[in-house]
Amino acid sequence: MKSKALIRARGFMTVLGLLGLGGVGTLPAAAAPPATRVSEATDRKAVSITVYNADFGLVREVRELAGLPTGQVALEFRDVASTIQPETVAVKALGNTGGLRVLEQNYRYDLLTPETLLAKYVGRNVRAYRYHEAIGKEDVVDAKLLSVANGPILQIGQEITFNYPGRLAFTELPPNLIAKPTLVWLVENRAAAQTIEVSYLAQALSWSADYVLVLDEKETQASLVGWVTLVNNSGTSYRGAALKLVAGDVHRVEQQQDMRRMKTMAAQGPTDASFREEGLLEYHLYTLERPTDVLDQEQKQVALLEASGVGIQKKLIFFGQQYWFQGQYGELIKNQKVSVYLNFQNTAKNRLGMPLPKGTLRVYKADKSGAKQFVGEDAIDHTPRDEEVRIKAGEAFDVVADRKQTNWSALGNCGSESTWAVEIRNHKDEDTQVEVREPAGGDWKIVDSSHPAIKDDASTFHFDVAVPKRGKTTLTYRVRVRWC
Amino acid sequence: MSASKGSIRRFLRPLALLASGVQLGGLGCAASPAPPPAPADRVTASTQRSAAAERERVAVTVYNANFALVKEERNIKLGVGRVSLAYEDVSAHIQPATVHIRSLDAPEALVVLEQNYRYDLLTPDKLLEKYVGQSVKVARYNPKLGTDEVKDAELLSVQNGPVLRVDGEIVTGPFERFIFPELPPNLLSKPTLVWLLDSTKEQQKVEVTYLTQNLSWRADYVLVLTADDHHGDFSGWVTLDNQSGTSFMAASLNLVAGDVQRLAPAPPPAPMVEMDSAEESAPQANFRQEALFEYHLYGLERPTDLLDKEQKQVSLLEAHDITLEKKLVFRGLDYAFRGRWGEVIKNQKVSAFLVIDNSEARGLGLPLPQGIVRVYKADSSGSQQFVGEDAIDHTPRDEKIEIKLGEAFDVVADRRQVNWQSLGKCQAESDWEVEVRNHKDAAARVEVVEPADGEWQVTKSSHPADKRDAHTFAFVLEVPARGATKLTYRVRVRWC
Repeated sequence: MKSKALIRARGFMTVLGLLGLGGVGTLPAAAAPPATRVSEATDRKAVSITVYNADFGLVREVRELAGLPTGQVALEFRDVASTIQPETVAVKALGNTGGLRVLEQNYRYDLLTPETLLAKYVGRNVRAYRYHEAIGKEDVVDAKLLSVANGPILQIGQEITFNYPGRLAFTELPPNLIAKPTLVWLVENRAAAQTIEVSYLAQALSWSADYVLVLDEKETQASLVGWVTLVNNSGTSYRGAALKLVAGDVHRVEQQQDMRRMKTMAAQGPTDASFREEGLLEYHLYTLERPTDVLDQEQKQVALLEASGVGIQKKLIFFGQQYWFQGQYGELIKNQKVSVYLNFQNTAKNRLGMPLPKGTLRVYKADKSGAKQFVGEDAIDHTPRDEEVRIKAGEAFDVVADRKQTNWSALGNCGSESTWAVEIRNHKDEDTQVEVREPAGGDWKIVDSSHPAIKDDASTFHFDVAVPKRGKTTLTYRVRVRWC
Repeated sequence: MSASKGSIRRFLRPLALLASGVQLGGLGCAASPAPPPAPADRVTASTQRSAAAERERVAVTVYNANFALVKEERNIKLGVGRVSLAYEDVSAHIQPATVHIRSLDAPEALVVLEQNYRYDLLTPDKLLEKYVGQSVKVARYNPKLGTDEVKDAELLSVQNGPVLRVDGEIVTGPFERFIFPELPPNLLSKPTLVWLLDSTKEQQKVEVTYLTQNLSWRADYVLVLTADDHHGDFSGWVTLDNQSGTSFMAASLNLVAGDVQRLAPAPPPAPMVEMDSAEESAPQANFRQEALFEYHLYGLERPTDLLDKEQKQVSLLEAHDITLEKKLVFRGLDYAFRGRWGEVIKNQKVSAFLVIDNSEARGLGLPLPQGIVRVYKADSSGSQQFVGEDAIDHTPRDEKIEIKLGEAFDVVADRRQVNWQSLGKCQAESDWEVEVRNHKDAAARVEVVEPADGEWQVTKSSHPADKRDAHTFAFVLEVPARGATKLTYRVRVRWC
């Protein structure tokens, strides 16, 4: 594993080196018009894509170009992602090094459209066709295109007119208008056959993880399955591609990619089914073990990890609102919702302990007939091993709470004292525990409370309240707040 | 998907292929320890299609927030080896990331290598785009001859409309129609789910589950009041709406009541009105109810057909002769006591509410999923008339529901500030008068609810003031038939 990674690292440095060369070695183009050669997807011998979370990917492809003229050649490179970032393109020849030198790289996007065609013909002669229904033939007149701003104005004979019904025909295609944005290299070539490697960054390639957490009957254990979901809207299909995914928040400023591989970590998922995982700089790299077809406009899913017997905790939390204690409140909304949260530790002890890339976690639980039902979903961020994952599953149906300000008194201009009653009612057939979490603003102090208040941080405290089955518990407390 | 066996198999295959000698073109970076380009790999995958005809069972669990979990079983002839399975007749609003397949009869015989959702659709624009740089034909109908004139053309560009070369000239539209020699590969008529599978059993029964949007349900309740307004019959209906683009025939139907956390395609916010509707749990004819996680699950006892673009109603519960309470409430304005006011608006509305205690003692005591309660009452001829409706949120048993029926016609009230006095910089005292007039032929009881800010005290009042919480107090007034009752009180307020 380690030596493999080193080899790869060396390979990558080579690319960087050459990339540098390509930039420095730009020479003025020779006077003679260069020969032209077009390369399309059929020349493609291998392609690898590395996809990042932030909706972009690194595409690397190898093409074999046969029958290449020698000397200066304008090489038109087609069938790249339509979302390519042209400034990130790097090209180099493989094999007989020195046989191919890149003099210039151009990304042309002066597209051939009806409008640009018209614009290029301003002041020139065109022909105007009009169809005669009666005779089933077209009339042709010669015209001069005077202007195209806000619609074409024509001179036909000595008359000036616009809104000419019919269509315009042009004698020839103006040079340098192209059908699709195209990469064109001016290269100095010395061999008829060349193998080149091209790499670039493209937008609209993205991936995320999708997890399925299946709870057991008692809601204390679960199995977790992770999937990778890859979406390709980059405008091109990559067939037989070597696929790699980078998990992590990669900083991007003007497309600067820092891709040094620093160290390798052994993959450690209990069942790392299809993907091999390793550390990459401060991120994680996943490699699909077999080539795959990534088609345009396709969403692809591949298994990432699997674990069972993961211990989880269910928690009911009733949240307060910020800055409540300064103000005065009358009758507050009744039957407020109590939220249901699930926590689990991403540790080896808990049968996990692997990097969990950011994604959506969906929770399922079997009903009495054994059929799995969906019980909620939440987003998780990139979660390293040994961290805790907390997701919200939904709102409890049978546990509700009221919060009431029972008294309020002013303590000068910027202080007040209020008493609160939180009544939690449990309509289930089993006892439950609810955490009442109150965010507090200002300089606050709990003067008195029916349950012990636990201060979490400067502006949060909570109470743990046990509520018997089909019963209710009232939590009361008095809080004093100063805000200046 | 599990089986470590599966992962071993997956790992070995590409290696074997590597050995079989497809030369990796030296993909820079020696990037991949693995993948040779896979033409050989693809060739080995046989292609199968599966349509609704192979569906043996389907179960649909519908949630309140406009989505559903679909589970179906199909018996598919897969063949042995690497199979590419195109799975058709799924909901048009499927969330592809939520799809999972497993084999029911031989879990080990089916390994999912990858799952693809393809949506590169065959459209006129796509077709044109794929033909850029190639030859097409343009046709125009000649009405005189009654035939098409067809010309050969080269499609030069399709950006912002097609540009062609016809007879040596460059022309732009309009064109009547284009003719293409053949269909480009990989354009689909509808989004398709495709699995790449390793199968070791010819015929397999598979289970596929996925979440789909655009299936929703809500509860609709009917409360029929008796003549005295204090009893009623309560029935609940489930209204199910299928706009998922697919029909599910003979589906076993489950409903989940509760607020399930969802991400992205945000469900429309539930109406946050609080009302109480009373209901009695009579025999639950159609649905069996059970707890699921922190929600409630209702299972329909018999299979049903859920057709696309269909709204279906099934009875959920029925309760007879439940006890309820009618309430007339006159509510004051916020922040009234600090300021000075003249005669406040006259003939203000008094609201009518129904309060239902969802308890067994009152003839109910059932979880009531969120929905709309519609209230009817028989007129003197015995025919039922609609008297109001309100939305209720999910309501567990033993909770109270308050339904606003509307505004009373014959009971009105005036509120007046009759005196105001400053007591220093941030204190004031004022006298108020509330007159409630009842124009009905029966006596009425009206609750006057006053919100108060600051530190307040009712120093004097004609009726006893009841402190509800830190900033609310209330009075109960009995108003005789065709009569009026006057409430007066004095409030002192300090706000700093």
